[in-house]
Amino acid sequence: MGKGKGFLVLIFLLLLIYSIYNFLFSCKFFPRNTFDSQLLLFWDYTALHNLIPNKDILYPYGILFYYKNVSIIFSFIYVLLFPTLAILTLLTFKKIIKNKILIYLTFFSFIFFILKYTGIEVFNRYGILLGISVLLSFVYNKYLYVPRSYSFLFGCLIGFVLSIVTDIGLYILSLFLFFSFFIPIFNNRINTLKTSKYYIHLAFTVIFFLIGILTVLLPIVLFYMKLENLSTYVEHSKYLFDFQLYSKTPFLPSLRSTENIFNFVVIIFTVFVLSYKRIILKEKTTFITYIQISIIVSLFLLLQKSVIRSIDIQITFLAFILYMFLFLEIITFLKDRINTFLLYAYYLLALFILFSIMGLRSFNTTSIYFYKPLELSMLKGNIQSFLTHKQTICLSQNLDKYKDNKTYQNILMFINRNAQDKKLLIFDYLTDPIFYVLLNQKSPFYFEVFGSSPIYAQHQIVDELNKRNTDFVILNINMLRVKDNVPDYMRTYFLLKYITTSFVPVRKIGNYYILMRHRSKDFFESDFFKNDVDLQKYFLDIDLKLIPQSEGLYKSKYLSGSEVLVSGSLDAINQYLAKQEISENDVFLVVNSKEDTDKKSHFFTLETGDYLKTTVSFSACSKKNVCIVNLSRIPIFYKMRKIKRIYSEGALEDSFQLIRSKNKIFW
Amino acid sequence: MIKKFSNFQFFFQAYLVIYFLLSLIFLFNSRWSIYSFFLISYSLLPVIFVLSKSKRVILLLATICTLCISYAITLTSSKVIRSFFLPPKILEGKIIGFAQYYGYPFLFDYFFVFEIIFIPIIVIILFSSISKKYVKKNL
Repeated sequence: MGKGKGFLVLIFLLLLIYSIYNFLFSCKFFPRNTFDSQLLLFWDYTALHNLIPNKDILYPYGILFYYKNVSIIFSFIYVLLFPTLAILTLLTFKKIIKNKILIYLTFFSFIFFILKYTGIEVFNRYGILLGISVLLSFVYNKYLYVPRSYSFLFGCLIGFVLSIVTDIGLYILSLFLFFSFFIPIFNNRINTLKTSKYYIHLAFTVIFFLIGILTVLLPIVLFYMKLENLSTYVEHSKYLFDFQLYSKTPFLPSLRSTENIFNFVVIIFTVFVLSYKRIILKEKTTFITYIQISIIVSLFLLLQKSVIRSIDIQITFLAFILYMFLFLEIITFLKDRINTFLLYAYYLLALFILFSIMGLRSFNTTSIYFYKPLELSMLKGNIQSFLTHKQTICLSQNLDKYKDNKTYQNILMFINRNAQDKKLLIFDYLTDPIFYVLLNQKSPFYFEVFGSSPIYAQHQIVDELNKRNTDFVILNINMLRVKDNVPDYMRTYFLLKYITTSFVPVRKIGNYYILMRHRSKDFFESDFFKNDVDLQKYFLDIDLKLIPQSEGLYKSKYLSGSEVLVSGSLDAINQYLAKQEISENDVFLVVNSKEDTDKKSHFFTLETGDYLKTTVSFSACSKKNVCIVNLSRIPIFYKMRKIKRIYSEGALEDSFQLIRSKNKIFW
Repeated sequence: MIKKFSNFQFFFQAYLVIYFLLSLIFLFNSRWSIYSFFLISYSLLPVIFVLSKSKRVILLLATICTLCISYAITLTSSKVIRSFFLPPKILEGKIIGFAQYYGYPFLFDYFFVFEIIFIPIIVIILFSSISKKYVKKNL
């Protein structure tokens, strides 16, 4: 074996040893009680108890990260990822950089960057994109038309990743197809697009690629059949598109973070340099070009992933590689003008800038500490029992923090005090899944806020709550930020309607309300509700924001077949309400602004026959579009009540209609 | 030629010494500030040198200026651009998330990110074709 290959093997083994040691003898400790940390602990808990992966593991995160701490096979794959991806990166640097010292300087600074900023777990996940980018670049640099055997092998590799890390599998599938379709543009053979040979080759590439994917997906199909979960997996695949609908948040605010500025500036500089070299200087496409293009595409795909939260910190390692390549361009240009020592000094200073003054943050929001007793217990049993033992210790270390917290203690005490002889079942209202872990209970299939947004998810939750005859609901009214500031009465109105018609509040502990099942009592008429200002504000101060305007914009044409109960000014509406009782579920208030004003919002107060009042606000309509308000979506009308009066201070110039419509098209 | 080479090497050495001293000063004042921005800009001086050695300096400068203006316009007028997009419709699944609640258009971010990444390519293609026409015309 040559000296170079021997050194590669040595680096691989060292990284493998580090990966194994880091995996086996460290615990992830979450210092803060956030929604995200609760979610991760909840998954650790369910994996440890051999519970079938919940929705979020089926999609999009995949079974590798779910089972990595409890299954030897997945642990084995997991520990191999870091050294494999690192070696692929080293091979890339060796192909691009001619100077040996610079190769290893770049590589070890990359490893340092991973350990300092990204973390091994995040790198193992998003680094797969980098690994596939490297392999694609090697192949496309060598072949104009990729051999069918390679298409098949890529299909197998990508199918394998798709089966164990679903979201990354989808991204690398997109990357492969992107290269397959656009390669003639990158290697300056646009004329091949006019030939039938190109399209025949493309068709065969895709066919062999798909055969490769299907070949590898077969074991995973068998795995889900064994779990008896295949039908759920297939059924829920049709809901994948909904993920985008309920979790989309603006990207622009996250652009202000140091990490995103770094990512974008590097991307823009790289695109500029590549375009300048290809279009103006007419330089040939080389291996480094393919790597840069595939990293840019990967970053583009991952930036779109920033839906619920920005993943800017987690993907800076990709921008780091582009950053180093940009400095290599400068060094290549200067190498004939200055001596090598000065070049190294400049390169080192460029690294210093990155590691010290850029102010990049580390993703290690969790502390990873090496737990000494674990090393000794390794000797006592086999690997499987060690994994279980380790995971149990790590989980309990994290749960101690919750058990020591007074609020959680009091909630658990209250639940357990009411339990007496039987086990009480709770439902956490979608923001604190840690309660299922603390009370050792199974959660509903949909248990977190985003995935529970669609109406089918809410129906399923309600069915499960009824079936189990759940005793208590724990509602946290202080978690609006987690829900992207979208209130529960908007996001999960059907579920909230069920909760407020089947449960009543009985206790407040910190920001948490404990609701007890009680079919006959009225949630809004209970003494507890009447005496709690925060709960009243939560349920009676309703802001519909842009929904009525959006409904008017897209669905006003469906009003034409509806029954108009009354139309005119607010006085006319109230006169009608005084004579005629309205307490059905299918009544809509339609607001038509007579003139365009500077007014940003409409404010109304609705009073019921039992003297409850609720204020409703929403974004102002324009003269061209009506606003449509479905009154049954307002929490006070979840239970049928008579509408006694509607009044507003600033609505004198507008015209109104109360209509009845059974059309299910409206929200 | 040798004299030219040694002059350049001397200036580069001086540049590196100052760079090193400025970095040391930063170590005592490591918060992100205008000084950090200055230091990053200073580290890009060799980039300016490399660009100045380009055969088509004017074309390059014109491209960079147009790029900067394009980015400035895009970033400052993002709210205006956004107003051309309609708010999302609530579909049959009755899903209400941030986008629907606040009327944030789905496609706006894709359009924005796509625009930022492809502006350099479009500007370079434009200037490249303009400069070709200019050369042809003057021949």
